[in-house]
Order: sequence, then C-alpha cells, then structure tokens
Amino acid sequence: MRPDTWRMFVDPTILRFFGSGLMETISLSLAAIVLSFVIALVFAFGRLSKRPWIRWPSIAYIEGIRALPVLLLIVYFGIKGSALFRPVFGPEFELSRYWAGVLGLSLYTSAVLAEIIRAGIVSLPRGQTEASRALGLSHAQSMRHIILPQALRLMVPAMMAQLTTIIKDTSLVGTIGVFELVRQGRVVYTQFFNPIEVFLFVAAIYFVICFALSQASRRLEVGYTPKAARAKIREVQLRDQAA
Amino acid sequence: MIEFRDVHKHYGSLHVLNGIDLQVAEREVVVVIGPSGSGKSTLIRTINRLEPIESGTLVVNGTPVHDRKVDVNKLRRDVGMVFQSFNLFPHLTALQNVMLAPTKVKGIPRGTAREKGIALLTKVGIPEKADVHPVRLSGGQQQRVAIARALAMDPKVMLFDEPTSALDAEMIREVLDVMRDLAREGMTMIVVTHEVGFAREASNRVVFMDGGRIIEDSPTAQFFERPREERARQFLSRVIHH
Repeated sequence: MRPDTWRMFVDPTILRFFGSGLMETISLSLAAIVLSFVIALVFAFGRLSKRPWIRWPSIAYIEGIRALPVLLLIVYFGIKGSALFRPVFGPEFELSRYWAGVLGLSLYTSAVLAEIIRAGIVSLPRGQTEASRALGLSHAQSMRHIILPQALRLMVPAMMAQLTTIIKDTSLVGTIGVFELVRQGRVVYTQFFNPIEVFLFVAAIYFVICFALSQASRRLEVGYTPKAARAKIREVQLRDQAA
Repeated sequence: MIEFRDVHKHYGSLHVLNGIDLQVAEREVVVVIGPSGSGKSTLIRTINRLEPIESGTLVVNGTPVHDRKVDVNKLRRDVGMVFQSFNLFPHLTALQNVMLAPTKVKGIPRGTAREKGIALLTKVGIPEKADVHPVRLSGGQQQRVAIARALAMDPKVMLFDEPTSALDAEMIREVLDVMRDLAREGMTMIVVTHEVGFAREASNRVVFMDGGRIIEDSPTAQFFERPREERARQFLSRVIHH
C-alpha cells in the first residue's frame, strides 16, 4: 500500500462524503426495521390464525419471501416499483430508489421477523392464554395485555440481531443507485484508485456499529426469560441463518 | 347454578366425559376426586368453556355455556378459575395481576380497582407483596395471588383445578386456609383436589369420578364414612393411607 492513498481519509470533505453515506445507511436500516416489524406482526398473527384462508396465504408469504435473495427483491422494486404502485397512487407515481430499497429490505426482513414473533408467541406457556381468557379477557385483549408484552420482551435480542443484518444488507441497496456507505466508497475509490483502503475504512465503520449493537443486545437480555422459550427462538434464528 | 345434563367428550378414542349429570347449587362446595385420567380436570374446565363438549347441555347461571351464540367472555366474568400451575402473569406485579381484569374487562377506574386489589391481597394474607413480581414469590404466595386475581371479578362461582398439587407440603396449608375461608363465606365452589382433609372439613358434597363417569355423588360425611361404591372405597383407602 502506498502511504499517499490514506491521506484522503483526514480530508473533511471526503469524511463528510462518507458521513452522508453512513446517514443514508442508518436511515435505510431504521425505516426498514420499523416497516418490516409492522408487516411481520400482520403475518405472524396471520400464520397463527385459525382460519385457513388467512393462515395459508401468510405461510406462503413467509416461506416464499424467505427463500428469495434480498438483492433480488431490492432490484425488483428498483425496476418495477413505480409500475407496481401506479394503480394505487395514480399514473404519475414514481417510487424513489430509496423507498424501493426500503421495501426490498423490509419485505425480506418481515418474513424473518414474522417467524421470530410467532416463535415468541407460541413459546409462552399455554396457561398464560388460559388464565387471561378465564378472567374474561377477549382474544385481542389477551394478546395485547398478556401475550405480546411477554413475547416482545423475549424477542428483543433476536430483533437486535436482525437489525444488524439489515444494516449490513443496506449495502445491497447501492446497486439500485442509493448512495449509502458502500456506494459512496465506490465513488471515492474510482477517483483516488484506492479500493482496498476505502473498503477497509468502510468495513471498520460497519464493524463498529454492528459490534456495538450485538454487545448492547446482550445487555438487553434482562429479567426473566424462560429457558425453553429462549431455546425456541434461537432455533428459529438458526434455521433462518441456514436458509 | 350449574347443571350438567348427559355431557360427553372424547380425546381421540378416550371417552373422557361419559354421560355426566351433575348439579351444583348456589353456596355449595363440591369436591371432585378420583384417580388421574378420570376426567376431573376436563369436567371442571368445561364449566368456563376452556374445553368444548360434544353433546349434552351445560347450564351455568342460566346460560347454556356451549351454545354458539353465547358471549363466552361475558360468561367467564362470573366464573373464577384457579389453576394447578398458578399461571400468574410474570410481567406484572402481584397487584397488577389482580387489577388487570377489573380494569380491562369491566372498565373499573384504576383507583377503585387498586383499593379492591389491595383489599383482596390482604384477604389472602399477603398485602406486603403487592408490588412484587411473581418470580419473587413462593408457590403458596403465587397461588394466593391467583385466588385474589380470580376473586377480583366478583365471580359467582369459583373453580379450583388441583390448586395445591404443585405445592410443597408446608405451602399447601396456607392455600387451603384461604379456600376454607371462602367456603365459609358462602362462595359456590367446585374443587378438584386430592386433599382429603380439605374435602372433609370444607365441602358439602363429594363427587367421585373414574373413567369419565361420575361413580358416586354423596354428601361429604356419608362419602367418607360409608361410600356406596366399591371403586370409591378402594380409592379412599389408597389416598388416606398415604
């Protein structure tokens, strides 16, 4: 490595340039985790539904989406996103590349989160539902006051892990022209001819963020967590990583 | 108050309730005993529709429980239940466990529910544990909170499904004491239990079940002194000599 290829990293203009990429990465990740959580709740309950016409489509969505590469989803929305939403939002509608990326990421993540949420719910002892229903709580009230608060607490570590996955996966959104961290890096090295240095720099940023998050999630594993429930959630996670 | 008429239920090939006829009047305390697998728990769980039945009728408080048109949540307000494994809500404190249903189901203001909750925890002897989470309570204390939680809805009937089976000997007493007080106050109670002592002292009637049938249904004193049925006699000699 030539020493002069590193000097640019102290240039405030370049740093600001990377900074804007980092902001885009974080913004994409947060938007995707929030959106995917909402979608995931719907499909987790859908899969748990007693009604087959709700349950089967939910299973199809979860299993179908999980079997696709995230990159494919992102590129699909990048190319086809605008056309897809025109029937809803009118013929002039243009889906921005940013939101195409968020959608691609969210769709994939929602399928994974839906399974994590479902595992959290089914891992709770049956007696919890029975006790709350026996008191006269409706199914919805029992979910809202008894089951979900416990299930969500169980899921915090798994959700944090998923957030770090999203952060790393945002690098794929660069392919449809969103200027996140990796894409900004590419702009820089095509000008300074130092791809290795740039990638090392970018890798360090990802590492710091993701490592900090995974450490934080360990701290968050507070209070009671039934052992059996924890094992069940881990099982789902592992299965997902293997997929 | 509660009336079973020819109630049947299967679990697969097991005929778990085989033609149950049973009546329980207001203020009556009925103990259900019998060997495990005899259908006692299933029987008690049909009363608030935790278990569906296949045929026959079951009327609680004038309501046909298993009628599809019946609002089961409304029915359950009047039927308190205490489980073998307590089933307290671990993310809530003892007091919050007791306050939950009155505030969420009946819409009682928090202040009122709180006062009542503390009164009930006092009644079961653990007002000092109001702000403690269930994990920090002993089994006996947890079960007493569970009783307070069920009482908070002012039920007309209380169902106890083996309430002391998960407890150590020294904690059984404290739970039975609370139940005895309730019986004395005139609560209508159906209790599935192996506690012969409790049955003798606190119940009006004993129902003996075996193989999904009610084999004997007698006043308490008569049941223990001269049981009519041979199977009941055998069962009694086994549990008493243990």
